[in-house]
Amino acid sequence: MMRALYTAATGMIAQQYNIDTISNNLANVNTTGFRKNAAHFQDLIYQNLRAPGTPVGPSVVPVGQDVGLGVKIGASEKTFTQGVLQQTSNPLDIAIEGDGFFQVLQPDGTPAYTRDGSFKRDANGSIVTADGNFLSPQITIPANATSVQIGQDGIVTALIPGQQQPQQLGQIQLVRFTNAAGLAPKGQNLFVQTGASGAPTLSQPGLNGTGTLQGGYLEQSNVAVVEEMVNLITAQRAYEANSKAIVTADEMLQTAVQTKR
Amino acid sequence: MVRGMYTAASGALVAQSTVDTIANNLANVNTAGFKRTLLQVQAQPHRDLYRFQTDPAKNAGGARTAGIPSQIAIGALGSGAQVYDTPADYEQGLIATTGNDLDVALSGPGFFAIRDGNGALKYTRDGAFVRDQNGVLTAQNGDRVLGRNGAAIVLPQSGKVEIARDGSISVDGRAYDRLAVVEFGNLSALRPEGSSRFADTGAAAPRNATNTSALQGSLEKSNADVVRSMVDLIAAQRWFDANEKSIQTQDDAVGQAVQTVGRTNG
Repeated sequence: MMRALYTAATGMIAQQYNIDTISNNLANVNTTGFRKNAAHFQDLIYQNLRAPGTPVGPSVVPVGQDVGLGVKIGASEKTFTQGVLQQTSNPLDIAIEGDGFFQVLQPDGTPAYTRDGSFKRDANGSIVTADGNFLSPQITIPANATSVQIGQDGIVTALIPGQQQPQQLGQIQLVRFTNAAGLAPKGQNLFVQTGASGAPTLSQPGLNGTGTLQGGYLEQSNVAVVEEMVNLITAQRAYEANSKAIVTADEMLQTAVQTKR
Repeated sequence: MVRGMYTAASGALVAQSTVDTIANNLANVNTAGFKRTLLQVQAQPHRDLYRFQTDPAKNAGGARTAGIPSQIAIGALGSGAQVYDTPADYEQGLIATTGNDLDVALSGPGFFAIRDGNGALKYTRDGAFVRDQNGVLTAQNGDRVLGRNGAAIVLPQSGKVEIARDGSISVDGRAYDRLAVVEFGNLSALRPEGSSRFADTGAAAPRNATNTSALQGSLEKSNADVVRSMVDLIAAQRWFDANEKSIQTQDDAVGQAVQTVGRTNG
């Protein structure tokens, strides 16, 4: 049958994936610490119908003839640009200004990484994420402590009744990866390490290329609605254009079939 | 059988190839760095036609003896169309800002030099690069991006990467490496091979780029053009239809000849 049917179908599948990706970005436009995805496409192999240099009589064909077979999904890449910082009234809301991730422990004890700094206290005073994952290294705030402060360097201090000076409770560490785009998104704002991301390097905030911390702020999603809208329009039009190629190929086949009456 | 049927069929086949090519361009309308394929069509070789006859001079005088057969050239007859070449159109694609530090768009005729999984030297216009787990700068499919002296570029663990318009890479303000950007003396020898790669078939004459600038934080969009493709699609369909009509007409004529010529009664 006609190649165009299958070629245009790859185009429609790719644009469908594109719209899936854009929809997920838009769905997470208000998700703290969310990093947008970008679908990346590559052309499929070209079928060679005639190679240049093929001998024809005494001379050779000077140019070749190829036909491309469509498009494939190359990658879905997370974009780690900074999101906007928004002030909150909660001292345990912590935003990272710059590179790096918070390290948290999942219920099974394995580490995961997040940009979502909306931390809480659990029943024992330990700092946990909204889902109850412990911040790692673990920091515990005494029950009677007041005015908890997070320094730019990650040092957590609090006033304990009966003490003159604020007491240092611990230091939040940040983690960097050589290739943050290679982390696997787990959902719930968590990422886990993969073979492509490289090993995590733990350091104090502000050192070794990590960002600094801002207590009382949350980092918004880095999804830009206008940009996603433009992407949505181009993806829909591309989908439509590919469907037109299928319709054309179909009508041509119909014409060809009707030639014999 | 009827010569014209094969001529019309060749036209219909070329129209079909055109639709195949347009479908590939449309499928890649959102592929970064994609270059649309054009289709060049040429006439098939003309065939000389001859009329066979017996020389009338030998028949003079009422003698009904067979004359000497001879052939007289009538002229040339075209025998259809064929696809001649499928060159890529290297027109500059639109450049869109992404804000991603490792996205680099090329403005001008150059290409990034890369090495594919087999270590072969290839070229690409798709500058959506990433850093792999070892800090090596790669394309999205793992092809290594080449720097100075044709070696892979290994970026340090941390630091702000800045890429200047001439392709030089600096990390935290210190000069580090330089993207290998090449231009070609003969672009027609460059062939697309999929996965956003182009291969030099041997005569492309690569040289260091002089007229190309690298733009950090941007990507070059596909240069496939939806409007043009739609118009081409309509034209190709009508072209196909017209050839089918030609086949049908000739079929009708042959049918007429078979059924009515030589019929003796009514």
